[in-house]
Amino acid sequence: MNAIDRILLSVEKPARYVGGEYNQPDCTKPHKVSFCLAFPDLYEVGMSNLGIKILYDILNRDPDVVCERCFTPWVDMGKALSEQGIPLFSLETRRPLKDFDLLGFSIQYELALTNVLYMLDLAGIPFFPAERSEDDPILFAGGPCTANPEPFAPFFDLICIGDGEEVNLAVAKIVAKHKGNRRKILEECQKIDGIYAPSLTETENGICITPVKKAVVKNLDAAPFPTAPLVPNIEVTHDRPVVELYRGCYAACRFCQACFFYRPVRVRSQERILTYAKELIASTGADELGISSLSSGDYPDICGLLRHLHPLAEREKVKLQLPSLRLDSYSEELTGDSRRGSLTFAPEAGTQRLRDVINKNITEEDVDHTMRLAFGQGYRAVKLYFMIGLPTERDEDLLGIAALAAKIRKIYIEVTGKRDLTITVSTSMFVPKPLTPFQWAEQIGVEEMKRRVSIVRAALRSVKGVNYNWHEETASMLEGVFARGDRSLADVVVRAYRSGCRFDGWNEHFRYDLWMQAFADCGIDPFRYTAAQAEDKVFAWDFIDFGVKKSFLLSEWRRALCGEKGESCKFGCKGCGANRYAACKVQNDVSDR
Amino acid sequence: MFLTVKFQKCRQAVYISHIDLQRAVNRTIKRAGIQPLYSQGFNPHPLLKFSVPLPLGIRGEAEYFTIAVEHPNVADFCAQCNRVAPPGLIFDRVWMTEKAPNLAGKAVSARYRFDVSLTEEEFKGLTEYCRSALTVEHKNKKGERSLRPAAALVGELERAKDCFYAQLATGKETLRADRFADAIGTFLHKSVEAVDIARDKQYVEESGCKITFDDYLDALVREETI
Repeated sequence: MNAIDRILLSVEKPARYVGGEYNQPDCTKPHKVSFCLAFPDLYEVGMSNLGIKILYDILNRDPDVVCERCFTPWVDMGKALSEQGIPLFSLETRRPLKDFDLLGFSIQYELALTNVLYMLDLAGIPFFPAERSEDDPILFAGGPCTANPEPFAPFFDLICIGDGEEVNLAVAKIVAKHKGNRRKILEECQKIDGIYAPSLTETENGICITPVKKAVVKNLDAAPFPTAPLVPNIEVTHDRPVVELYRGCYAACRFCQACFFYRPVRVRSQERILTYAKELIASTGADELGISSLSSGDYPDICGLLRHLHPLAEREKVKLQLPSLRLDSYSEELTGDSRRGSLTFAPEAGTQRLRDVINKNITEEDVDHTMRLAFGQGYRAVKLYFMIGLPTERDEDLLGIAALAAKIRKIYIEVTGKRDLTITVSTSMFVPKPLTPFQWAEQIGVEEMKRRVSIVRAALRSVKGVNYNWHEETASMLEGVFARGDRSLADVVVRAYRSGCRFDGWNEHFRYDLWMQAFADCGIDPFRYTAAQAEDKVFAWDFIDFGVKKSFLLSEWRRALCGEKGESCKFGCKGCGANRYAACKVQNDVSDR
Repeated sequence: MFLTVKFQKCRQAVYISHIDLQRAVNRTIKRAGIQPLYSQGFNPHPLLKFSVPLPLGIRGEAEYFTIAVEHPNVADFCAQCNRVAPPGLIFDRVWMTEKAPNLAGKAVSARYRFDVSLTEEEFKGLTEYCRSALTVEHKNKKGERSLRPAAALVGELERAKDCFYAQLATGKETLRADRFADAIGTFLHKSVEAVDIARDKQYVEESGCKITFDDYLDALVREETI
């Protein structure tokens, strides 16, 4: 029995660290390049991530590449590894991370950065490129936080911005060809659309000025998709295989980074989706199947798709899991005969005025219509998501959250004659994100966040049957700093990590005091990143061409401040610019509706 | 009809907990194309029942579950499942019966093999200790720990080359093999850990005699055939 097995039974959920899942490829095959996908959170979170599944499948299918995985060890395992002097290792073959040619991190959210450093530290890999030798792996980052990669750019050799399907394999091939010559690898990789090599770029006043173009998969229908994904041996956060319907979003909610980051809108055909669904059920033996997109109700002919998916699910004894639906696209056909548990909606704001500002085009009539339909179908529980701190928000908008909950309860009583409805209201703090019309907006301070939460809490007390949850304010504030941060924040991350910060996304581990001390020690005022930004501000991420034009976002910001709602581009292009990269699927055909 | 399946739990699968094992077996059966019977009600699930749970880390060489099926295919069951099972779950044998055997309810003890080499003297000392002074750590539902006498829960002990065997009680009162290992490890001043342990037989009591699960199931099948 080796040293790793000896410590596994002293830690929580040892299956997190041993691999051995069904559908695991042969990672001992001869190969020219070894790639480790590192996810900076627990196994249960990382194994729910579709992006990881896609890249893992693509890379392992290549005869020259072997791809393994590593997730952040929980604190008990990290401590045991340190005490025993065991370097962090991959799940499949227990290879030390330091021995891989490429180490790729998927940065899903801003508070994952200390976990990146935690994994590097446990692996014995220096944080900064200048400290790494030719024997160390090439450090590679991807994921949605690459909308603004600057706070973590100083740690990485390469960063993939945009769709990873083609880029990751291309990078692996270059590494295979020029192994041992880091400079050559970076230079060759920099030529690939979507690749940003921070050390090879020019800066002006600390801002990168070397242009980088986002990577876009032009034909999503033809793009590879994992139909035999790994089947976890322990329960994970989203414990089901998932089919991606389309990428990008028409809705253009002004706070939503994902909508603009993943444009242009590219759609998978129904035939392809149904084929994948059948293959996923057969290859995994799952009893649930999920469908994924930013707004499933907006998929062209979603009802037609579900008319095929519901019977398939029933035949295979699989529960079809629909993600949250928009209040303006809900219909009986969407939910079919699925179990009447809870429905989830995200109105985001409590009044029509504020919903118009954020371009969440949901009217009171939509709420009324949808709730009557849902309650008539037998639903007994509703989950509602809102944001607090949106631009132009006033106290009456906060009271509107409670008013909306009260209205929904009243509709339930009218439709069913009963009073047993459970409403769960969850609020998160608005964080201005890059590549959105709100990237110029102010993020309210922690004390103001608390004040507004207390208004909502007090107002909801008068509505029966409501459970209220809210996100921690200080963590949201830190997210806001890093969302619009720049390269100077890398030192702050190191300082915070060294003082003990990790698992910052977990309430029980988040240490706001240590973070504020880290900012002070580095002489950086975090609030300069959360303040309102001038319209002529040159952002740290302006060097990246995402397709969507900054001028489009600015015009949307100005319209928002006037209370003017925007329009979905579902039935007509609104000229954001994303279709310069690939044709955007605009649904002009009546049959698409 | 009921199929009772004997399987092994080894390699990485030793780290799958009992609850997760149920999920893993469910999915394996589904991938194999086997159609179980489902429960009625709001959340239908396969009618699948396991025998005595195995603590995490311990290898299982004689583990069992019973599944209700409409169209049993005994001949190919293990081969079908083994083709689509996760590494470390190995399906060995199947018995088909009209009644569910309720192995968990009938189990009285299990034999564990400890892959630890003992001298004759050490084994003699261990035997005396187990017959008289053995205490093991016990945790109640609130998580409170205490030491409890456990000599009455230890059955036959046997020494072999490079290992020894111990029969430990299961069922109404269970002596967990990992807690037993901790206790004897302290006594012997040796490291005896879960990964050194394998459960290789389980027993029911029939007409005052202890027989293995395999023998019990064979007899059940014979009885139903007659």
